[in-house]
Parts: sequence; structure tokens; C-alpha cells
Amino acid sequence: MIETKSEASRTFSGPTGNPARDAAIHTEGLTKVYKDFWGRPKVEALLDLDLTIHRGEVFGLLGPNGSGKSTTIKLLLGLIFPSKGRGYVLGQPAGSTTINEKIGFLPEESYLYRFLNGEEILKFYGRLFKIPRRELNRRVPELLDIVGLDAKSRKRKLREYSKGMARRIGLAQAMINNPDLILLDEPTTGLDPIGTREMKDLIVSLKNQGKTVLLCSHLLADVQDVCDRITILFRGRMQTLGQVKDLLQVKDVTQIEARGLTPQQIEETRLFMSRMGAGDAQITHPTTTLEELFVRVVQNNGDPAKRDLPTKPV
Amino acid sequence: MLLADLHLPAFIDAHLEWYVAAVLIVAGILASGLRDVSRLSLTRIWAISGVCFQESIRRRVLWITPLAIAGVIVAVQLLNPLDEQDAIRQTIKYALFATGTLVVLVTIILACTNLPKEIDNRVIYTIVTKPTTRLEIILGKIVGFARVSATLLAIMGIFTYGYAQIRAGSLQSDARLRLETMSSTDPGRIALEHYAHQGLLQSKTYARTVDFQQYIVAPKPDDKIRWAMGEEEQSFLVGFDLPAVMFPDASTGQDNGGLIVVGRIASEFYNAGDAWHPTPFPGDIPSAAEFKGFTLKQRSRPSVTIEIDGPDKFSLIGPSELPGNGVVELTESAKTTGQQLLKITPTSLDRLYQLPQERRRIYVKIQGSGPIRYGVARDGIHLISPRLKLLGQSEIINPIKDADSQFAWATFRGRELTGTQQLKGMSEIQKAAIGVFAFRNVALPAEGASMPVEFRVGIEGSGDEVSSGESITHAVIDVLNLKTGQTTPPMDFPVESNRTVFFNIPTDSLAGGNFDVHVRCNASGRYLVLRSAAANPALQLVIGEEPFAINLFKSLLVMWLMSLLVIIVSIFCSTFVSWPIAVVLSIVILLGHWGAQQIGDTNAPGMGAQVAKDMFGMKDPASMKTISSAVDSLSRGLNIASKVLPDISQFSATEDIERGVTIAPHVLGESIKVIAAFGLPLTILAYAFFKRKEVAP
Repeated sequence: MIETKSEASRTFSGPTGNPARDAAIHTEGLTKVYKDFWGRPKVEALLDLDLTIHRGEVFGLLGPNGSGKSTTIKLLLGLIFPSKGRGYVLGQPAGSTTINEKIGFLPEESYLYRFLNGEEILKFYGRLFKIPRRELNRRVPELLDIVGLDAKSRKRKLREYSKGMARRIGLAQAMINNPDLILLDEPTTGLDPIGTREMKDLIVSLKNQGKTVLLCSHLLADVQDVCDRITILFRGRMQTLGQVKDLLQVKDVTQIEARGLTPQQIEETRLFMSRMGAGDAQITHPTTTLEELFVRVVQNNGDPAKRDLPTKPV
Repeated sequence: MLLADLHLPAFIDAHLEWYVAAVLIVAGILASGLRDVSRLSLTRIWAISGVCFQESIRRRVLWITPLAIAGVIVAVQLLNPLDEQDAIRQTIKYALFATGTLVVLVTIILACTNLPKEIDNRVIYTIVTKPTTRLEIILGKIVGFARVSATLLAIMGIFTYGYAQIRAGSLQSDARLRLETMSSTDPGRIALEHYAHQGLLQSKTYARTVDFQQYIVAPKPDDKIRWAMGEEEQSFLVGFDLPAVMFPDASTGQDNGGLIVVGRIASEFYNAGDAWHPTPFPGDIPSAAEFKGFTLKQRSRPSVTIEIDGPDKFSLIGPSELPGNGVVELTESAKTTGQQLLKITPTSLDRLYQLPQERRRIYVKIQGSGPIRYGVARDGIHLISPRLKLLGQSEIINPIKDADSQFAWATFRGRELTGTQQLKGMSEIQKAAIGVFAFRNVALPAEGASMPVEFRVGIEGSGDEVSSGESITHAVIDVLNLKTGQTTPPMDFPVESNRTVFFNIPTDSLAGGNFDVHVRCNASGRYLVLRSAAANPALQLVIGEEPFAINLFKSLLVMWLMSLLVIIVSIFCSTFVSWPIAVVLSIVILLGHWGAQQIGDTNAPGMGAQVAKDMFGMKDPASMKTISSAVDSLSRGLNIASKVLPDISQFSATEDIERGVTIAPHVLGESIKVIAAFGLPLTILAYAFFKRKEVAP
């Protein structure tokens, strides 16, 4: 189940056959060791990461706090420099300024100029991409609509923003240049379930537009919902890599879903399963996710007719 | 000590800062890659600068300006000015001082804290992950804070202009009122009339005097001898360039042979009929028998005292270090022939080893005592070097030559104190000391029958002859035109201490632009204290005027250039140290040139030997040499270090505007040069450091 480096290289196919040039992201032995004042190794943040992320996929970078997820992203963006190994982003060495034209980055928290308002901050970042003024005037409101910031919010200073609003404007700045590759570090942190859902919908929409998304999170449900492939890092090392559905598949268990069975039919099915030798078969009603429930409630917009309150004390 | 022991070739040493700047720029760009330079985008730089500017404005940095303005207004109310002109100058000085302090403090704090703060709160993540190069970030921040300082300067400039206008208007009205009640003989009337009619805010262009010297007889172009006053009032200095061969390498153990001063000094009584009384000459001493019952006290003979001065004309080998305490008494022959042979031998050259090799220029200073005057010809004094004779060369060293390849005249001086000379007054004006302000190649304006002159002196009393305040001191001024040889009739006017006197000289008498202005004082027992510094002499000829607003703008422009340097230094420091250390380091770099020069003591090349002798009390030559060479190496090292640090004294235009002087274009040029020589390489270094900096904490 665990994909090794050789497997990853074997499975890569691109126009030139060279993952460093063709892949959205490619790393070879990428290592970051933080040193103390005297140059002695202090923290091994990332060790020998060999990773290839294909163009057009949504890739999840998972792991607990301190596992090396953010370090990987910082290395890919040139915020820090590797102690060893190499990284390539869209065919260019990691940290190259020119490739930043095609990259969007949402940091784990929205580190933005808090004295500017929503529109000003987007126009500022737009100017860094040398987007013409007319184009910027068109694109900024469009982006603010996409991330769900209303007209009133746009004129407020960022220091007055809630955490969710700050994430939304952060996402907007990451998309100001219509990037080919978007790196999202904990994108759903601080968002309410609706915002989380919208974020996930947006990621899927970006994938549908052919963009590559690198999603870094420790909220596993988010990753599971949108990622094509994932890797899990632990203590700076890659522990596993593969397709989400492959990694999550429990191959010695079979699940049968049916709709509209009566209790009697359920009992007959259990007997049938027992006869087939599956004496410990579980037959239950599936549960939805809390997120699904929350979204449904909020989307009902408080309609009293659609309320689903218990008839007796719970 | 490697740096200290480094003897750089003269052509490199002269422009060291430019060579270092060029090397840093080229190395910085090559090391950090040309790609970032080629990608440079003004749009991005302006965008980043805009954010820096907006941040500063929204952090209410400008709110500090009302505080500065209030401080200036309060301080000006507490002033106790000498006169109206002083009042307006002090007002401008305070306003510009507040402006400069405000701008420097604000920019140093903003620029030092900005980058570390953005790294700390991680805003930098969203900047460096955009297609902005690190060079654009550095330049953007420099431009941003330069915009902040320009805004501060604009606000303070408008205030300074308005406040100076209001103050000047009010002082001018006061002057008019006072004139109505003032006596026509009041010595302050001339100045007050000038202020009442001309106003107080003009900026003037002055013809700078090239030299100020003092004599007892006014010098003329065809003089054979020039004269200094005795009574230890005046002295003259004869310059010599010592050849390098006189200084054998100390390690060879060869004797440098020392130096002999020889010459001929003329001496004369002030008045032809005067006689020595009591005569100091041996044959003239009355016998005790003739004066039985009286105690006869022999007066010391008239004498000259000799010392050796360094290239800066400050004492290098004092009289006490010369044989006979440097004193040569006048002999019989001087009495009869008026010529005194001078010989002091030998003088050790050890102290002179500390002088820069390329400029071992010394001056023989001669000062006379007694009520007689002393004269010297162009070639009156020579040096004799026994070592040159040993080497088979001529042993005689002649005085330095002037631009006409003649032996240069000695430099004549009065008593000196911190940039001023005292000019002794006499009620018999012919016996008074003469101060000579030399003007050369002055470009006189085509229009105007007369040229305005400003004259400002201090007045000091010498004690018992006339007590101060009893009578009005007068200055007597005439002009010798070197082209025509004509001297104007003397102009006599009252002077008050530290109050400017305004008068005019007929333009005809200045024709040709080469002239000497002679100044004398007619009050016995009083001295005129004259500023002799070329930058701000006591007597100045006005050759042009300019509106105050334009001069103020130029002054603010120079301040803005200074703030630009402060910003660059601050941002440079903030790329590799935390902001509190960056603030301190920036101040050290900005003041480093001045500090290194002070400690290095460029003006006293013999400091090493002096320290060995005075501080350590050493007499043994070997030990002295160890200490002296260590101190001198340190001194040389600091002097080299001072050359690679920015010289902020080049941004001193505010001094000009305070004094009402038009800021010359070269002042702006010097400021721009400092920015080019230090600002540009520091910007490249800041970029090179920042390029290699991990911006994620």
C-alpha cells in the first residue's frame, strides 16, 4: 500500500519524462535541518522528501503538528532554503521569483497588511503581478464575490475582520493572478462549516479548471473530501503516499448499501450473511456527517416548517 | 592592526570610498545574480513603497509634527537673541533642527523596524511568494520611507516658512518703531535701519575670503619684507616640505640627522625715534653705582620664540622641546643693523615621522616679544638637514613656493582661539594691528555702484588700559585693489559686539576682483575678535540674493537626501540584525565617520609620541616607539575606517540657511555624492543579505 520513491518515479509520465520539468511539484531528497547559533543541528524538520505532484491534481499533505508540512511548503516557495536536496515547482527550481507569476499561496494564517481594506490589499497584490489597472478593477470585485465578502466588508480594514473573513481575503489574494498552482496551508482553519464547504467546493472547482492544488491540513475529513492523492508526514519523514481511495480502502471488508429495506428484509439479509459465513456482519443505518447536517440546516434558512426538533427530551 | 598598517597608494587613499563602493556594487550584483536586476519593475517598487507609506501614515506618524511645531514655538519664545537678525536666525535654526531631528528619528525607527516586523508577523510570506524580487522589496521600502520623510519635510517646511515670515514681519515692525526713538549716533542704528528696510529673510551669496592674516604694516604686492607685531601679539609661519630621504626607515637604525633652523629676522621700533628703555643690551645696562639706593631690575631682552608646527599649523614640536626653550634673544647686531641671525640646532625629527609620508610639511613659527615689530622676507628662513649633506645632496631646504613659483610669504597670524583671531586696537590707528581679508577672483555683479558688506565681530577688553563700556569702539576699514594699487579712504564706523554692521564699498574700488580689505580697531586696550574661518568669516561681501523660500527648499532637499541615507543604512542593518540592534548599529554607522575621525585625530599626526610621553611618562626611545607606533597605527586604522563610513557632515546645508547664506549647488552635489558613494553600495549589500535570508522565522 505504501508507495515508495521508485514506485513514484516509475508511475510518473509527462511530456519530457523528466518529473523535475513536467510535474507541478517535484522534490528530490528535500531536507531541512534547523541549526543553532554554533551551527549544530537543532531540529530535523524535513528529511529526504521525494515527492512528485502531477499537474491538475489536488494533493493533500497530511500530518500532525510539527510533522514538516509547513516546512515543505516554505521550502517550495523559497521562504526558507533546503539544507540538502532539491525542489522544483512548475519546472523551475523552488524559490525562483519568475515562477511565482503562476503560483498562489494561502498561508496557514492570513498574514496580510491589517491597515488596508479588502479592496486595497487585493489591488496591492495585483500590482505586484503588474496586472493592468483596468483588469484589476474588474478582477478584484469578482474575486471578492467568489470568496464571499460582501460590499460592506470590502471597505473595512483587515484588522476589523473576523478570522473567517481574513481566510476569505487570504484566499482571494492567493487567486489574484489566476494561478496554475495553488498552495493552501490549512485553508479551512477559522472557517465555519459553510465556509469550509465553500472552500472545498472552490478547490474542486479549481481542479475542474485544470489547476493544481497542494492542500496542507491536519483536518483529515477536508482532505479526504477533495484530494486525489495524499501523503502523510510524521517527524519530518514521508510515511505514506497514494490515491485517497486506495489508501482508505479496507480490502477484507465488503460494504453493501441498499435503500428502502424493511426491518424484516434486514433480518433476512442478516440470516443470509450468516449462512454465507459472515456471522459478524453489521447491518445498520448509515449516518451522515455533521458537516452535511449543518449545511442542510443553514441552507433551510431558518424555515420553521423544516425544523427537525426532538419530540421528547434528549 | 592589518588595516592600520596598510599604507594605501595615494590615488586610492584619496578616493577610497569610491573604490570600496564600486567593488561592493559589482560584487553584490554578481554574487546575487543579474537576473533580479534585469527583472526590476518600477510598478512593483512603487506598489511596495505605497504600502510602506500608507502604513506610516495610518500609524499616525504625521501626528508627531504638531508636537515638533509646538516645541519650536515654545523654544523660540524662550530665546534671548542678540539682535533682530539673531532672533530670526535662531528661529530658523530651531525649526530646522526640530525638522531634522524629527525626520531622522522617524525614518530610523520606521526603517529599522519594518522588515524585522514583517518577518516576525509573517506578512513577508505574501510578498516574497509573489513575483517580487528581494531587490524590489528593498528598493520599495527605501522609496516608501523616502516618501514619508518627504511628507514630514513638506509639513515642517511649510511651518518653517510661515513661522519665519510671521516672526520676520513682527521683528521688522519692532525695528521700525525703535528707529523712531533711537539716537542718530547709536552704534546699533546702522543694523536696525538695514533690518527695517531690507527685511530679515533674504538669502545672500557671499564672496568668500580666501585668507585672513594679521600684520602690523599693511602688506603690498611689491613688499620685500612683511611685518608682524611684537609683544607676543602676532606670529608668522614659514612652510617647508621635507624630502622623504630625510626619513630613513627606523628599522635600519640610521640617524635622521635632525634639522637646523636658520634665518634672518628684521626688527624695528614701532616709531623711528623710539629707544629701548631700559635698554636690554649689555653695553647699555646702567651700573648699580650710578643708581645707588635703587633696585635695578633687568628686563629680559627682546627675543623671538620658535616652534615647529605640523601641516595643520598646530604645534608639533613646542618651544620647550627645542634647545634654549626655542628662544633666540636679539643681539647687538639686531639693534644696529635691524637683522637678527637665527639658528636653532639640532631638532630631532622623531616627532615628524608621524606625519603622512606624502605630505611631510612643517611650519616654523616665529613670535617676537618687546615693543618692536619683526619682519621676514620671502626667503628669510631656511632649514638645514645634515642627513641630506651626508647623502651628497644640498643640505638647504627652501620654503615652499606659491602659485607664481616664488618662495611663499609666511603666514601672519594674531592670537588664535577656536577659529577666531584677536586684532589688537590702538588709539593711534597707524600703530594698530591690521587684519587683512584677501579676496581673489571675485565675480562681481555687473550692476550696482556699490557692493554691500556685512561685518560682525566680538569685542574684548585687555584690562587696565580702557575699561569696557567707557567709549564706543570703532572699526576702520579700507580696501587695497591689487590691480590698480589704489587704497580707498578709510571708512570709520562704530561696532558693537556680535551685532552686524552693514556698509557698502564702491564697486570701482573692487574692479578686477582681487583686493584686500584691511580692518583695524581704534580703541586702545580692546581687541576685535574676528572669525577667520573661510566658511563664515567676520567680513563678507554680498554678491547676490535669493528668496528665502528657494533657499529653504534647497535646505529641505539636502535634509531629504540625508534622510535617504538614514533609511538606506537602517534597512541595511535590519536585514541581518533584530530591530533594536539595527537602530543602534545605524546610529553607529551614521556617526562612525565623525567618531573615527575624532578618535583617529587626523589633525594631530604626532599623537602617538605625545601619548607615549604625556600619558605613559616614557622617556626611553625604544619603549616610546612601541607605544607611539601602536597608537599611530590605531589612529591610521581609524582614519581608513572613517573613509569607508558615510560623512554626514556633508549634509550641513542648514548651517547656511541659518546664517542667511544661499545654499550653493556644490552643497547639493556633495550630498548626492555621499548617497552615491555610500547609499548605493549599502543598498546592494542590503539586497545581497536579504536575498540570502530565510524570511520564515
